Amino acid sequence: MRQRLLPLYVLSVYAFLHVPLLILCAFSFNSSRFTLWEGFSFVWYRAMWNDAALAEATWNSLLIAVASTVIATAVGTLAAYGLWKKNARLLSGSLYLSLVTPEIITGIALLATFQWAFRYFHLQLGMHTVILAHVTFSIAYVLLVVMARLRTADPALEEAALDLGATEWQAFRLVTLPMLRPGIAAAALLAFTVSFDDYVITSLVAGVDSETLPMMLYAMARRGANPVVSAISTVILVALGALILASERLQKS
Amino acid sequence: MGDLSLDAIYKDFPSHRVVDGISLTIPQGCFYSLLGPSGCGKTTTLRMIGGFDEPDRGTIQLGGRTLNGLRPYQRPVTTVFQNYALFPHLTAAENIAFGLERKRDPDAASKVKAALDLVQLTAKADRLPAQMSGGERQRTALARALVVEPELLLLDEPLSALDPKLRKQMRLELKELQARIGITFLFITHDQEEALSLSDQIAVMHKGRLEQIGTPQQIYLQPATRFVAGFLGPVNWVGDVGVRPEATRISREAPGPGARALEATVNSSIFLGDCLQVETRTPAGDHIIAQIAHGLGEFRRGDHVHVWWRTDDEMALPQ
Repeated sequence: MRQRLLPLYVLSVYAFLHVPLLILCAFSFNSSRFTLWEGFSFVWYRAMWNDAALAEATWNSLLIAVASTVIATAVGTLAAYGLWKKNARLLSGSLYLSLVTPEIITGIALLATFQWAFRYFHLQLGMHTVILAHVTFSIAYVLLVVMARLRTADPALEEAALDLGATEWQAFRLVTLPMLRPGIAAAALLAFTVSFDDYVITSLVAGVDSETLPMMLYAMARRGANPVVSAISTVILVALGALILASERLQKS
Repeated sequence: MGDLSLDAIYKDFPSHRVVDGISLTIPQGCFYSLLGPSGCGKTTTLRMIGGFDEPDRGTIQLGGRTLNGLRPYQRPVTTVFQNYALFPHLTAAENIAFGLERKRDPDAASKVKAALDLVQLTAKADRLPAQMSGGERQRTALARALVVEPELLLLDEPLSALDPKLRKQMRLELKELQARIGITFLFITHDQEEALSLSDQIAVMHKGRLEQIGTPQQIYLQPATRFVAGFLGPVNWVGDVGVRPEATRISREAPGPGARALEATVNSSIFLGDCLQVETRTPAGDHIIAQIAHGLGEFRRGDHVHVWWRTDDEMALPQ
């Protein structure tokens, strides 16, 4: 009895998690505009492809994600290395604080900071503020992933490198960095995905020239069911899903 | 090249003093052991010689040149780490080449080859550490540290990660290797058997201080303190006098003159393979253990016996 119930239970959990997504995917291939199946079609994908505003938003999102990922990965990796070297437990622990802070609060805080700073600098909200905001929350993710990798590392490895004639910089570059590479790559992929799909913080600190894909999707969805939204969502789901899988595999290696 | 000398070395950790005024000289070409229980400060001493920690006070000199303040890569000293610290992303050959490449040694390739040959790892040159056995890793670490031709090799419990059988075999190999290449080995261990069987000289450490320096024979047979006597092996204590179980005899009849004898009652008799261990108790309450060869009689619990030893075998160490 139990052996039959268990697969059923697992199946229902997965259904609960994924059926809405499957429905979304299915209707992106529906030839009708409404939630009534009329036939298979790529019409909404074509519409998506030809939408210039959508292309611009995608471009913005990619640009922001790449820029913030590069900065957050570099800064976060070095910070993780520093925390590990100094064995700073309290500082490492406080990282969790920035992970559990509600996004809306982080967003409001960043907005307040930017507005305060703008009193002194002649600047406005725009791509740069979005990138800065994304760097802020991505760093915590990068730190956590890289720290996890460092925790399993033997501190004697760098000492062995120094012992054999390497300088501190060479020990880091030739021993620690190669050892951390899978962790850093996984951290970068994670940073990229959290940046790419962020809505709450982005919408607060974005300017007129920096509408991102999630912001645009949100606006479109608010105006009612739109199969183009379903089509974009499907593409994003597949792409991010692949990235997350890649990140998992890297973390394991 | 030259002797290593430590002069009044002190090192404090936040909670306590780890190294408490150590002075010693290690002659060039010597196989020297620092022996002591965990936490006695031997690893910290080694780390100060390697340059990973700096002494709070005192000087470290090698061949008359002061090492204090030099970074590890500026010292003609290399280390075999406890867990070997092999670079996991490099093969055995690449691990061994690491030090030579830092020096841009033009003969790196041939030296790596010779080092692999020295530790009999030529067939495993392209293996990653994860693909090697414990013994192979140990030999790689040894080759990696020796190939840069240090004046002094530090070994931090290099055999402790191996299983007992392999440990004895590697012990012989290590001793042979040191005799062949002739550089100074400073060996850190908590295993008295290892120290006794390998060393030319042993320094016994306890609570950050040196208890005794001497040859294995001196340390074992003429310990300077009760701690040294007890750390090197079991001791029967009778008042201020100690005697090793293997020097203790047991018989049913009283021995002749020239021996110190006590009457005792047998508590237990255990067959240990290479000997028989008889545990007795004297009327005064002292436990006396005698390790005797087989065939020197059988003893059962409750038997009345005489335990005795030659006064030459006594160690007089007041409490």
